[in-house]
Amino acid sequence: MKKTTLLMTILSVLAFGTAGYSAVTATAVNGYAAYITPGGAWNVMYAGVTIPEGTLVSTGMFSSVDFNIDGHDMTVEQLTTIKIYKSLVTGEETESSVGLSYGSVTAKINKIGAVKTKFNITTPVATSSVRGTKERISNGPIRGMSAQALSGRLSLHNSRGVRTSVAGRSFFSLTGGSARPEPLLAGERGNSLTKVTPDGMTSEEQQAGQIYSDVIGNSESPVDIVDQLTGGTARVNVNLVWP
Amino acid sequence: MKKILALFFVLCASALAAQDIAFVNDLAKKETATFGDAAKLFVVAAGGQSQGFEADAQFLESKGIIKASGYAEGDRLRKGTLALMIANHMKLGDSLMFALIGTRRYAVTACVAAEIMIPGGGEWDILSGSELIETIRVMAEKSGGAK
Repeated sequence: MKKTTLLMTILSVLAFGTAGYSAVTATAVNGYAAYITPGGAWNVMYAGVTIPEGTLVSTGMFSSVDFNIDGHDMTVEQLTTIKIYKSLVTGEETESSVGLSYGSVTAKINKIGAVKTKFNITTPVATSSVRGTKERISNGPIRGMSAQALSGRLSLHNSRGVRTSVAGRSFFSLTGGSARPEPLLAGERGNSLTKVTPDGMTSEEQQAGQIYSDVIGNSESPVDIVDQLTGGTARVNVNLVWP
Repeated sequence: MKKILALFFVLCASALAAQDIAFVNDLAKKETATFGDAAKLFVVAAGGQSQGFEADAQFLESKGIIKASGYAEGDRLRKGTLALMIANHMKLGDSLMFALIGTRRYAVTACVAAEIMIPGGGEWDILSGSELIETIRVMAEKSGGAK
């Protein structure tokens, strides 16, 4: 019986690959940062330090730490605390999970051949998951969680039914008290090509109208004059940039 | 001998850094931040090193950040007080009302205009430790400090 169990175990390991903990190594420390392992005390973080799962990492003011996690790059920015929840690697798959307690992290998730990559950054509000992209995630009690895909596309979801993705200029923002995130393009509000005032004039046309009001009849706006000069048609090139 | 001294100083600096980190982590768990907490964080933001409340208060006064003698270390931290410190530190004089009157109310308005604080609430709001940390972090990012 024991021989059968041993044989089954060996076959399982061979079939599914050898799952193991992979290295989370600090590659650079700017300023000061510290880490605490489960049940341990705070230690100062230096470049070259390798930390195990369950480790809490915290950075000070004007400080940051760069990590290499399974071949991916992550920067823990100033006044930030993270926890390494999971860092597993097999020959075919890597899975990393980082909890962002507060602060900001930037992660660059590299495509490593045919290796299936799962890289999650979790806050109390939502989880982001990425592959082959670069992202910046922030979390705090006032602004909640915000996420931006610096390149590629980023997926976000939580247990309350939020499931979305961001790319380009779209920006994810969700506070703990809200059921739904802010509109993804809320940051683009007000960034119009030109601001139009009443009478269909731009602010420049309105200024011209005030300067040359003596020349232009009261019933005519600069737009009317332009209409007369060009026969009422004009060619306008509009460059629409979608996020 | 020189090597031993250098090692000693490195160890001292490391111990101080670990203490600061432990302070920030403890602060993040506090439901109510105090003026002393804000002073300690602000001294570092202003380029100094925290050396106890009395020294921190003197440092902040000398930098024109706040008349710290008007506050006790254990005073609960109000949003207006923090806004006043930030507005003075970052010289947010672009806000006309803050430049003219310089009160906590208009300091909050100036901080909202500078996108360091978000709209809503007032100068009397009491801040938690994690709210203080987030606000200081955003201020440091806006003022060009390393991320």
